[in-house]
Amino acid sequence: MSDTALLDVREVEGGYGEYRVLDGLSIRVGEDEVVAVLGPNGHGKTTLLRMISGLLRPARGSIYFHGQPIHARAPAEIAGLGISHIPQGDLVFPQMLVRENILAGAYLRWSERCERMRRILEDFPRLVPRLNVPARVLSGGERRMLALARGLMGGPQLLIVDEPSLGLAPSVRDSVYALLRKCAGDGISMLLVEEKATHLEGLADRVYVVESGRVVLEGAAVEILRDRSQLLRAYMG
Amino acid sequence: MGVRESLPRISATLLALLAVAAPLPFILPEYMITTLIMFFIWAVVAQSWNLVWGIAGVWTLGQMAIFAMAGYVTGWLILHLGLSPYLAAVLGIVGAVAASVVMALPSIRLRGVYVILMTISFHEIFRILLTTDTSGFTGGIFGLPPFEGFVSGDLGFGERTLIQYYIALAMLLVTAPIVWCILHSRLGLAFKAMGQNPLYAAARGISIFRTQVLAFIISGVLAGAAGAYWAQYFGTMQPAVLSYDTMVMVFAMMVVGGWASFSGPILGAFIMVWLSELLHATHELRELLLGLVIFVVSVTLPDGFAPKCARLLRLIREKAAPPRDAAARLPVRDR
Amino acid sequence: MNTAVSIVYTGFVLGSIFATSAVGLALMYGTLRFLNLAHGGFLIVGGYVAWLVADRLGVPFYLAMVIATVAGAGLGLLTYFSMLRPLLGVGSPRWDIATIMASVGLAIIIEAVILLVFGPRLKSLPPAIDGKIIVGTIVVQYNALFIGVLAVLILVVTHWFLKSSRSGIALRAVAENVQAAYLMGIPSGRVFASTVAIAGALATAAGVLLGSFYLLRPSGGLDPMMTAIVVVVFGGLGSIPGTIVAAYIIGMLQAAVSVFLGVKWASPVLFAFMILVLIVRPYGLYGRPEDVRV
Ligand SMILES: Nc1ncnc2c1ncn2[C@@H]1O[C@H](COP(=O)(O)OP(=O)(O)OP(=O)(O)O)[C@@H](O)[C@H]1O
Ligand SMILES: [Mg+2]
Repeated sequence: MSDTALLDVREVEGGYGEYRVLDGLSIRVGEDEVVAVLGPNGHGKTTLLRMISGLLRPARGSIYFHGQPIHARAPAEIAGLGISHIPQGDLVFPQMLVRENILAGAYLRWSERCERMRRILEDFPRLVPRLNVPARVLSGGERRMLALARGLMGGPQLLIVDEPSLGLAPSVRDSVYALLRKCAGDGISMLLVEEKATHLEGLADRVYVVESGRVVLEGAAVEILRDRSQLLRAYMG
Repeated sequence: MGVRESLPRISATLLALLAVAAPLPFILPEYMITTLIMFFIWAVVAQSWNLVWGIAGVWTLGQMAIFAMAGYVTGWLILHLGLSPYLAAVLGIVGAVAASVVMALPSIRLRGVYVILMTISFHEIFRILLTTDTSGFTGGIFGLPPFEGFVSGDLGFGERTLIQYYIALAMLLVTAPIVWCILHSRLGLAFKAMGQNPLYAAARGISIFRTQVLAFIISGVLAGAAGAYWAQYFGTMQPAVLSYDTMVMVFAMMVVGGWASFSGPILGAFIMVWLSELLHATHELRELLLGLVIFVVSVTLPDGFAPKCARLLRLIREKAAPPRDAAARLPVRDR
Repeated sequence: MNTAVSIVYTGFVLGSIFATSAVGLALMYGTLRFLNLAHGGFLIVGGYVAWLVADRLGVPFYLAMVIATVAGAGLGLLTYFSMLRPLLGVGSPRWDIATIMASVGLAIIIEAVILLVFGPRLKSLPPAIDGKIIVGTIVVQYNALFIGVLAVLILVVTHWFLKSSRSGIALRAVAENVQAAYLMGIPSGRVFASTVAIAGALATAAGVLLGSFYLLRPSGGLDPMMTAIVVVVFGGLGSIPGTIVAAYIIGMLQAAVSVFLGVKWASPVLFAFMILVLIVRPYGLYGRPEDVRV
């Protein structure tokens, strides 16, 4: 861990109104690094991501991107700095066509939209025949693909994905992970949230385990993912 | 707080109000008395509207149509069948309730803006049919020809106004406590549950159909009483009560006072009636100022004046008599 | 036969105007959940501004149109900053009621100002083009045809804007899911402001079209606004393609009613139609059923 972290979350606290979800949580993501955050249901993983992308304000603590504080910025500004957050549940625009959804993702790079769309669709062959249907008719797997494609259109430096494998059949999940590996290979830093550690091997560089809004375990992925018993203990509390 | 335990408090409040309001006609100048009569009428209508809109959460704009229906039925029966004004007024209320139910039924499964659109359609059809009627049945744009109401036309203007004042006062002082009791009964609870979360209310075994129809019936009785009173007070009935301006005015009473509370519509009626009276002096600027007031209040106080007044009252009460225990300092909602 | 042609022709002209006027309303509802009851005021402002510059200053029609449109955008922005922005974040249902009520206040203000400035007398816009041709037994005014075509042109441009332009896509994205739009870097505040400006511009443009058809009076916006509301509901509150289709259907309906029953019945039939739509298909032609029902 160097001082030149791309994303630096320091001691964030906060949640929804009076209800505090995060309790002094710190994580870092370095340049070209893939970091995974693991944790059981309802322990604040999504909340953490929402704070990073500005959808929620932390009550205390700070978040830096490229050394600049971003915790008080508006979400659209944060996206403009190069953070792309693929939310849990995908949140595609249901009435808009698949093509229009992808175009909406190009809001920040509108002049390059055609070129980028052509390149990105090479990685999403499943979407190509579906470009002219409304997004609401897509299957769960197609929807996840669309959310990823849309999120990549803006050309992020940091890609944040909330539970990329949630609710997917094994084959689709494998192709999602293949895509994420490719993104990592292209030099995009990543922050992934997952509930289980099963598919992170070979992708994640480092892992944090979050429980009750705090980090209870952190370390290099090879070590943590190898030593399942340690992980299990962290989960059991 | 249950209804039964509150009876002494209600009676005390009523007596106090009566003691204040009864001598007013002998103190205030006549134009103020007529303004107060208007306040009593509109307070009842705004209250009835708030019951469906604010409490039960059904966004109806059909209230003025219900009001007008009562007035027209009352006037028509007096004119054409020569019924006694009292009987005519009762039948007018029946007509209003019928109109209210006709509007309630198709609105039952709709929500929000869709109810607005459904009820405004009924209102508009009623208004257009009235104003374009040339058969003489309703008098068209000129309205019903003059007829005699509760008070004999042989009396002088001052005496008539005096009697009308007490009738209108009685109407408000009878209906308001009834509404209060309904709001604090099981039925009122069902109204509120439906207004806040219809799905939850239905899941808890509250029949949306029954509750909504009941809300419309009760509201129809109140608006109908005011409409019937209106017709006999003016001794005529005109389609102007269905105009956009009148609807906006009465609706503004509910919003300015604070919808979803008991006292809000009454407060709102008081504010708007006096405001409109004051603005008469500004002649052509009246509409402009009225629009500005409605605009500014809805932007700055989306909950209306009632919550502010309740806070003020509480502050004064605490100043006057500091609470003995901490429990008294808990926020008390004005319902 | 002739009756049918006449109905289609009148229906086309009316439908085009209704569509322009209703699209603005649908845009505001679609993005902001804001039922603008000052829409009639916007319409009438368009008519009066056009009258001021065309009749008083002798500016040609198309320029008057442009000026009125700009005025409409300005009025829209004023509405956004004075009323919608302060209320953003109050949460439903207070948002719905406060915005509806404030827009009613705004409508009264607009009407009162117009009455003060222009007086109560009826005004008429000079026609864009003179002349007519007679097809069979139908008199086709060039002006009416021109207005119809102009309305279609405005709709085409609006359609292109919403389907293909950066701001149009952003606007629809915000309308569907504000949070997801944020994550794409779309600033919702700016999108809201531009939506209201565009809707205002469309409304005043429609007002100019209406004004070259009917006489102008300060309270003249009310009836066309009601028609626009019926159109928007029938189309499926907030859906743009639905609104346009609905506008032409209702235009034809109006034309047919005027021919067969007389003009007097146009409004009652319109509202009866709205009640029918709300009973049978409350989500309209293109809406989503889940928005409507309890
Ligand atoms: N919008 C909200 N308002 C109030 N509380 C919320 C909201 N969203 C989440 N919470 C609460 O915050 C806590 C943490 O939720 P969060 O979504 O961050 O969990 P998570 O770790 O992402 O869980 P999961 O694996 O199920 O997605 C939960 O107790 C949840 O109920
Ligand atoms: Mg989550």
